[in-house]
Amino acid sequence: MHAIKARNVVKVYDDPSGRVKALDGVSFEVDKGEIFGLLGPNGAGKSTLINMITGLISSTSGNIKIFGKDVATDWYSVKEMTGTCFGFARFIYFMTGRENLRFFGYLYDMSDHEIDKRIDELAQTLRLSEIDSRAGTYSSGMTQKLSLMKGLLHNPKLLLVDELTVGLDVDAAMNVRNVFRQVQRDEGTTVLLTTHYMQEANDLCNRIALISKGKLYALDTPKKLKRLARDYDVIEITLKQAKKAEAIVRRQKGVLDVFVGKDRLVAKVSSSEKSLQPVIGGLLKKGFMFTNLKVRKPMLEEVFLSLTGQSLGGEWHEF
Amino acid sequence: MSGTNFNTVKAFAYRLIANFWKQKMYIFAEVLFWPLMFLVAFGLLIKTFSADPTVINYILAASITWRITTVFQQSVNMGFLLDYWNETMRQTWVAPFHLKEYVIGNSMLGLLSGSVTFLVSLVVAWLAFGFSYQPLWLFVLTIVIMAVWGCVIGVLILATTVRVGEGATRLAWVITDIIVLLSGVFYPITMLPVPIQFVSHFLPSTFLFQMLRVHSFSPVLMAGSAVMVVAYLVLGMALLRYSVNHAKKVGRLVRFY
Ligand SMILES: Nc1ncnc2c1ncn2[C@@H]1O[C@H](COP(=O)(O)OP(=O)(O)O)[C@@H](O)[C@H]1O
Ligand SMILES: [Mg+2]
Repeated sequence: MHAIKARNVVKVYDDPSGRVKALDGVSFEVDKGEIFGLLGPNGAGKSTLINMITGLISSTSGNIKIFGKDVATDWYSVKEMTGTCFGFARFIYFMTGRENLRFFGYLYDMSDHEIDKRIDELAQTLRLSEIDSRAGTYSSGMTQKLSLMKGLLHNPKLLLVDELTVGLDVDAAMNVRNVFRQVQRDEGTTVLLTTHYMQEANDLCNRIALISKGKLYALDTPKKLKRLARDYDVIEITLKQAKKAEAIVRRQKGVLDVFVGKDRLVAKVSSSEKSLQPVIGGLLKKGFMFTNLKVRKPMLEEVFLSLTGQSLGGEWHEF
Repeated sequence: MSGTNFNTVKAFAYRLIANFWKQKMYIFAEVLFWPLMFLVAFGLLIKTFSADPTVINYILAASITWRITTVFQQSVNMGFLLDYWNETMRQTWVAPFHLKEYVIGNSMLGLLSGSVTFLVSLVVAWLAFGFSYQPLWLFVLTIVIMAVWGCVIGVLILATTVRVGEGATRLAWVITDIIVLLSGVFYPITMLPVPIQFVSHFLPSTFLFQMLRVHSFSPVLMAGSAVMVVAYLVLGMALLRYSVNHAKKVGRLVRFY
């Protein structure tokens, strides 16, 4: 039995502004005990998919089963087995973190003793010492931690996470990722998370599904996915006025494609041996100064681009 | 639908009561100030125009009853509004609960604050106006049925809000007042235009207040009102279930946050 089994899931929103096909026939399975990532840019349909797994949104057609239970017909059992963490979640403003969690603890049929024990344990792991302050006074990072505590409160078999590390500082994000690894290892929890950070997907997930415009393009381990793009190299240059440099680089020998970010230019080349000289030479001749240069194999970002024709968005060059 | 889980009922009761316990001004205003203010205003008004104790006692009993009805209606709607105001809708709805547990749990604030309001109102009405409604048990029975009717009105408002969206949350604050007008609480419904009288006959409150006004119990009216309340409850819960399914279709449980 799979932790999640999605079959031909379609979601069409009938908006006043028109029909939006947010998901277009998505099928996949998540194995018990794995960390599974949904990677895709904003608007790909990740949140829609995760909300359909929780049952908050019903599917237009197709079906989703969680440990064999159909979300559409057995919503209650599915909700008992899953914990959900939303990035940018809110909590009741006037109540403390602990009081907010107590409410959820009762809903998950826990006793006061169980609830307090679990809260103290999780607050320590996540280093949230303000658990007895009003949730309304929390910073966004503290709220994200509370959201994670809420998801893990009842030791769910399946943890669903939607963009939880967005807005966390590097340290806190790392801590959160470690918690996912820890519950996977110690409690056998299955984790499904969405992200548009490819490095996060790469480092954390056992398997990744690449999703764009409501379609699933590929599903495999990060290693195997990267092999899909091994027949070319990437030259990454840090320089001012990257936009201007683009046209020059594009003209050079063996350059297949060029992507420009802030102060950063990435060239996809058939072979770095053939293209490095002309690319650098061309830029130097025009007086460009660069502060960093990297030649590497393609990463998930480039795999994503070549499969979907779409970039992961503004953050792709951050890692 | 399976049995009712006490812990789930407790969850909603706990959250609503804990949240409002932190807002002392709100508690003071809703539980003491407004109820007593209306009670005293109505008492003084009726004493100005009538010396008949049966009339005075009726008006005081009616105004206390309406206040309690409103308290229960607002309590049932408050759980949803709390999620709406705090943008916690999706957080709450991904947790397991049945709709009846949601309704019963959220009505517990009404039970608590309504009981306090009721007792304080009785004492104040007695001290200020010598309130002594006869037969007392008729008054108490009416209040109990009206409390349930208040919850049912709450469920109907809830179903509407979940179905049509944010705008309907305003309904929560006016709908019971409209029902007061239609039920002929402070005047007989024969004073209303005929088409509106027709609508009044579909409201259990109309018949309960008919009995309360003449200080006499009628088994037919009482049983009829109770049956109507139960019928509206069944209808309300069915509508709520339909509305939740619709909200899942259009993604509203997520957009409400
Ligand atoms: N409730 C809704 N009504 C209409 N359209 C929606 C709704 N929710 C999402 N969409 C649309 O569906 C698409 C996928 O959105 P979403 O699932 O939020 O993507 P992601 O989480 O990957 O950024 C977007 O085009 C979005 O505008
Ligand atoms: Mg999203």
